[in-house]
Amino acid sequence: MEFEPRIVGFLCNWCSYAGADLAGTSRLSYPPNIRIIRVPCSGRVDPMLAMKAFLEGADGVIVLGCHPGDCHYSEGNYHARRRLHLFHRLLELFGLEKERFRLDWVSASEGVRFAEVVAGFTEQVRRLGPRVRPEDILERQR
Amino acid sequence: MSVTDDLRRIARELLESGRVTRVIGYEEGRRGQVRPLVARTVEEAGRLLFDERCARNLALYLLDFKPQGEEEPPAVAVVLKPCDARALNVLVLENQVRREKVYVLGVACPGIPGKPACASCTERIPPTFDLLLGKPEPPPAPAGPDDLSRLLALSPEERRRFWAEQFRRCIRCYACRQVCPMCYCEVCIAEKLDPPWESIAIAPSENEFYHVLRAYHLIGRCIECGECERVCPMGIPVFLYQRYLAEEVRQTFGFRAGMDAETPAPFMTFRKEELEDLP
Amino acid sequence: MIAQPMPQRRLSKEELLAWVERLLRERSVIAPVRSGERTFLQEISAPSEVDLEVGRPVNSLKEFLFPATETLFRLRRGKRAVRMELPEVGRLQVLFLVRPCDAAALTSMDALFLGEPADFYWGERRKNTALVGLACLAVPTPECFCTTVGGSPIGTANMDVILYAQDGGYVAEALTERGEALLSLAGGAAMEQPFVPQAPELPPFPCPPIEDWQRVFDDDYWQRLGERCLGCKICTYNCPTCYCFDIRDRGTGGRVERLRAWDACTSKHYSIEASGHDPRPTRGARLRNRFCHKYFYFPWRYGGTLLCTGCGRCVAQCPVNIDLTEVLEEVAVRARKGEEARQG
Repeated sequence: MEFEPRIVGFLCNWCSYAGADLAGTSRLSYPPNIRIIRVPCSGRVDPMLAMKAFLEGADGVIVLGCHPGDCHYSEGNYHARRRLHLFHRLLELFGLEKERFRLDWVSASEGVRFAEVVAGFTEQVRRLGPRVRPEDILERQR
Repeated sequence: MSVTDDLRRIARELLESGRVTRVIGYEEGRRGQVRPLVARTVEEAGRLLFDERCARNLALYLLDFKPQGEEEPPAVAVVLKPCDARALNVLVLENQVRREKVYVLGVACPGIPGKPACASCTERIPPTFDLLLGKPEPPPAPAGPDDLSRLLALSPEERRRFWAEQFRRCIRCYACRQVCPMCYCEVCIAEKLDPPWESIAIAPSENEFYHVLRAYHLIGRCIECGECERVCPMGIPVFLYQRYLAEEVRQTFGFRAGMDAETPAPFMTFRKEELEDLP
Repeated sequence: MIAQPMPQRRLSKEELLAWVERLLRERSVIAPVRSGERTFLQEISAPSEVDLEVGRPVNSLKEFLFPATETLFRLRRGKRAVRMELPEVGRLQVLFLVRPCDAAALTSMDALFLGEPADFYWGERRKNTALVGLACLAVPTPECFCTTVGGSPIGTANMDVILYAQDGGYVAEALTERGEALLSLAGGAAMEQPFVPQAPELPPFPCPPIEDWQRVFDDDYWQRLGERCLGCKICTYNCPTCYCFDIRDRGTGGRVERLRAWDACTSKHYSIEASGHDPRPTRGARLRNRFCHKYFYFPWRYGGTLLCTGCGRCVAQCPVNIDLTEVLEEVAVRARKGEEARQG
């Protein structure tokens, strides 16, 4: 059976979640692997939420917010940008496959773009395979 | 007069005059070690000392003197090395400590033998002090390739294996967190239950979560004293990830935590035009 | 007790390692392993991993009988019923080269875990665990104080076999039937003259009786000690006799597992109650509780057995030099002062 990645998506209420809605009402197709969690703003997303998702078995986590300059709360996505950029560096240091975590921008009118971004990310994670836990790595070494 | 003699004299004066109610410093411990002392009396002040064994970051103990309700917090004096004083600045910036309630007995630091942080440290004088003890000496020559460069030279696979080994060894005693002045959350996310962030299991996955948490929550706040690594009973190189991220913050934002108590940390601010190559 | 004990046997270093090889074929072997400047007790896969020069490993043997985390049971909701699954517990294992202080810890741990109602998980592991001890003919570390708490550097309590390092090799002696069975897998030659070990001297410290601990309960010594305590869990987790644990369920939907994991009374919210009240709100109160548990409450409850074997780990590993031997001295002195004040 082909591996079906489990993707968790944190979508901001004002832009990307609406964009996802638009993709739906436009009958656009995108992989069903993503489980969407609606948040008020991408700035609300603590990277530890992504770690929690990984701990619970997610293979990939994507955060989608408004384009810089268009945040409903003016600044939230600027903070998200800084945090998640440094979180990527952190993942790199720990060898934790930073390709499993992505931050991107999707506006309320970008239904097509939403479908494309999700499809692209799902494929990327599918190619990476299931996320390996430290226990699995240690088990392999025996 | 040695630093220790000056320190004792000044501590006695501060306590006698009532300028402070406590002097936080180091004293001779058992078995050739030094240990923290919260001196209350003139007699106890006579036990204070400072020498090259004084590694612990005493800014940590300032958190025990936070205001309770409407009360004014007590005035305390504290012996701080340059790295320790950076911690004080961060605590002041984050409104955990009132600077005017702390009398800083700064020490010009000779470096502590065996402390990993000292190999790359260039601070000789605390960035904040009320009185400076000792004579500043020029910083040491920069060290050669070290553990961090070796780690970064590994492939991502090898790096993940390296950390998996460390997470197997970790027992989540939380000593690294408890010794850090910047970890002052009332309930740490690693221990928050109802609802749980991570489970109570002491196991590699949960340990990974905890170390990533420690690394992430110290971004832009770690003052690189390296005590986290020194206290680990299992020999896990936790300072590696703090040092790496502090360097990233320096390179990306030109910011070093604790050099003063006013400049906002990177996660407190932003610029409209930056990091445009995301995602 | 053995009816006709086997004579002592002499093993060379090579014969000892060959014995480990044979043990590995049918059991898990846990032995001290060197890693950088430290030695840890851990499972080995080859005799070459064993650190024969072991002083005192950083961790104790506790985790091999009482793991840091274990699943007590799993629950699975099916269509018509809820199924409970017990994990497999208690594979055959040998704890190799354990020091007398670590082996002695099992006395108090057995009193706790095997008392009514007996703990199934400890019981199963205990049944399937053999101990091969290494006597301390020289004091291994400066922090050792086993004699203070009634132990001995050449003690054999809870061991199946004891080894004495002698003349570049070892003298091995079986102490139980299981030990005889294990030793029969080793080579070596029977000793003609029995080897009689001499216990080295350890620095003496007072061991205050329960009454002393009662007397100093309200002394401000505990608050002063708590001032420098970090509130970490190093002393508790590496102690061979500390046994505090937490139990929590993990999982959702139709699959839940009940976990038991180590906890420490030294940590901040250990005693917090549902109302939000905390009977031990300060680090000093928590330290006092930990020491009193070991030297006052446990012996009071368990017929005099102390919850400490003098291994010295807490003394060596505390980042702020909280030294149990100093605490013992302070308690003895302050109890004396209190007594004199009352009588004066």
